[in-house]
Amino acid sequence: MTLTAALMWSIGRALLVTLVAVPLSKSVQQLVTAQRSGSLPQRLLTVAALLPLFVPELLTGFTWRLASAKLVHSTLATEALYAALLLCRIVALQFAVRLMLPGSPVSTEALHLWSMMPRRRTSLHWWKSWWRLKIFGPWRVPAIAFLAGMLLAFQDFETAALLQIDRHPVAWTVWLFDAHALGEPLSRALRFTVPAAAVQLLLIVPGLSLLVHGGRLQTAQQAVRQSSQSTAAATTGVGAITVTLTIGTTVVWPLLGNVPDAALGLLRLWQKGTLLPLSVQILRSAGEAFLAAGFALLAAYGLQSQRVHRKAWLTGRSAVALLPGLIGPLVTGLVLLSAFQLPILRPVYDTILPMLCSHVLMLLPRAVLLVAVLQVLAPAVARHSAELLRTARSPTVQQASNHLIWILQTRRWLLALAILTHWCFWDVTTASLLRPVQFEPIVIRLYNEMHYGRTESLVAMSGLSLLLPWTLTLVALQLCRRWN
Amino acid sequence: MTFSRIRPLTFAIFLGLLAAWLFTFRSSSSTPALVLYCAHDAVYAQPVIDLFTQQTGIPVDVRFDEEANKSLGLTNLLLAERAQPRCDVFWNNQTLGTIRLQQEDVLQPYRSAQAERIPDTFRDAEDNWTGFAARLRVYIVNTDRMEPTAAAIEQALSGDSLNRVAIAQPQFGTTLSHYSVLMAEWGEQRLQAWHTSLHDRGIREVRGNSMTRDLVAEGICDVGFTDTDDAFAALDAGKPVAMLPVRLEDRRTLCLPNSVALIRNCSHPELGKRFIDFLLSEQVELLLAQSARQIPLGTVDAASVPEEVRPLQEWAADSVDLKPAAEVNAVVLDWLIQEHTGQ
Repeated sequence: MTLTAALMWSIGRALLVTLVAVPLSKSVQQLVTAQRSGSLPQRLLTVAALLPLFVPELLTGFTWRLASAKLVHSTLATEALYAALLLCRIVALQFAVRLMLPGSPVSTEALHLWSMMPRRRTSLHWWKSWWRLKIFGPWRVPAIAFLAGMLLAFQDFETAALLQIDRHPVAWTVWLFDAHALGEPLSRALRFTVPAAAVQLLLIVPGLSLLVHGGRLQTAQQAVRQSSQSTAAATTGVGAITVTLTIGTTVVWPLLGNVPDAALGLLRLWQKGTLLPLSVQILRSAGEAFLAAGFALLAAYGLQSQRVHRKAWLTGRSAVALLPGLIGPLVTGLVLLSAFQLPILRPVYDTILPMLCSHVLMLLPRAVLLVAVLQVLAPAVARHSAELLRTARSPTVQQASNHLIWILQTRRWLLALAILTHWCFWDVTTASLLRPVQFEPIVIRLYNEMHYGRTESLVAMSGLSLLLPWTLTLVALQLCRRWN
Repeated sequence: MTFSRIRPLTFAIFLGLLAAWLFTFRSSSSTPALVLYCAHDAVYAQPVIDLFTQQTGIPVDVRFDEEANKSLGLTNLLLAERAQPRCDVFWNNQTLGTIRLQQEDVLQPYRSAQAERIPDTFRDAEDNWTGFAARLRVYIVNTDRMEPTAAAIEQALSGDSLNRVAIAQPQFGTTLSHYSVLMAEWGEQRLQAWHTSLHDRGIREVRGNSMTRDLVAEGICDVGFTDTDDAFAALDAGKPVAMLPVRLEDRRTLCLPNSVALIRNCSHPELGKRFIDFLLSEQVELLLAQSARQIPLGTVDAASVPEEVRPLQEWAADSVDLKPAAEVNAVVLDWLIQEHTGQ
């Protein structure tokens, strides 16, 4: 199979799955917003709908790979299973996008008024403005959700690699890995990545443009759009089914299948006295991931400042900085491996620096997107108002101001940091290429446990690797809140 | 936009401190540590390494191969690092990759006194590497689905449909070694014809031997090409499987030893030599026979060899010499690249 064919498969699948995900994520959003604002059901539903995004691909792939094996006699079934697993994550991502971004800044009244204007079908100006109103109005959030979903589906590697039998599911990322495994030189591998990077730029550029230019305030009318009772019931019904299926596929099924093994594995780890060293290994891995996420966020913030300063939404320098992240961790890792063999960099080769650099570069495109989202989420007007409140003499008002700033800004930045850390923590390609001898990230160990067929210890370790950093994150968030 | 609370400068200082802390994760011991690259499964190799440290007091910094990385791993890493290697000793779980390193001048000859135990077939004439503790290429058969006999396997493999037969992708691991042996035996055209025939008849190609094992163990396929260690893993899990050696037309088997080699220009050659002496000892071969069911290649106390490994010793005695396979390995890879990329 040629790279072009593998790319076509990846693009086609990403397109199909993402198109299906758009209405599903909308129904999930409507299900969540139908609940009383701030109520427990609403919070639980939100968490449930977002969870598939945070289930490590290793666990999903591991849980479903035997099912994939059972489908070996039908290529179509293997592809459908993979697409379904991707769909779960994409629906969660698109729901997150819909949850975070404000609705349309263009009201339905404005659109109606524009459509009432005379000579509307003959004037180019009319059509141009009509499309502009639509794209930056009601189509903006679905379009961003669509582009983000496409990007996620197109970049996937691990799930495809874990499920693959008879070269299906076909994915360009797996194709590239295999080409390099066969000994393709780095120069050719770099050439292979050009079309894939171009595809991703085609997704990121309009996404950023829509994010930055689309306005930051929604109309009240958009937020409470009217719909008939039967339509609303049908939509929330679809939303409920979607959440049930995505949670069932990515969380409940793996849990049901693995909880007894996890308990047994934990018991064995406890008996062997390896729980403490394992926890240290997890925390060290999380520390490196946190560091990479922090630097990536800082770099994204720097690029963002440059954008504001130059009044361009994507500068050439920014695009160059994003490229290593777009060509994938394999090729970026190999380039850095070569670079750190140069005499000037060789002294720091056996440190965490090469791995850290690669992780920062890998995370940068996602960090840039997150910073753009954060910018949209915390409009200057709101922040300024909150800051003004802090000058008040009343301690109560000052306290309220601190609380507002926490909600509008600090908490969101910390969550963005936690999300980037999570993505980095579970990346295996960079770690396997660039880690120093004395530092074995936990994800490498998990992959090896999977190979040895030691299911109990694999699921126990995976559970700990998932719970320990997130528990620490929640504790840190609480501490930050108190400190705030 | 500004962070009013998480100011970038403060945040950067915090990250810098964290980085400094992570950079301090170096060996705290004052004794220089041997740096070992190990492609053998960590679960079996670590006790051997611990025993070495216990007996000699020499600490070992080990980097295991990553299964996620497959053949991209340690061999390629050693090639990339050859100008200034950080590794002292390479413990490979095969020999072809080690011979490739020898061809690329990455290895340094060392004749260990313990190497005298090992037959000439399994070591380099110029002492660049020495083989020990082997596994075999085998057919894994689901005994609920078919008889575990050579005749039944032959019949299954010569049928019109191979959609109940599994094999790992030939670019990885021991399947690559298998293909290289066949290339050396048959020549390029016959190997390609065989490969094409397997695919035309619908053989199930998976990403690794462990997946082959799982397909057969679960009864999704009836028979597959794998290694003894994977077959033993299925047997340990109580699966209805049996194994038979893969044999060439002249009845020779494919025995794939571990190999150990000293790295040229390494930092701790003396420590490396001591480790190689230890690894090639009878004690370690027996340890690996008992834990990983690897076949001792050197002379060992026969009574100490586990019952289940003894038949494997007989099969291994019929093994083909892997050196001709190493010579054609590059040709196999070139062909597989063309197959994969369609160019």
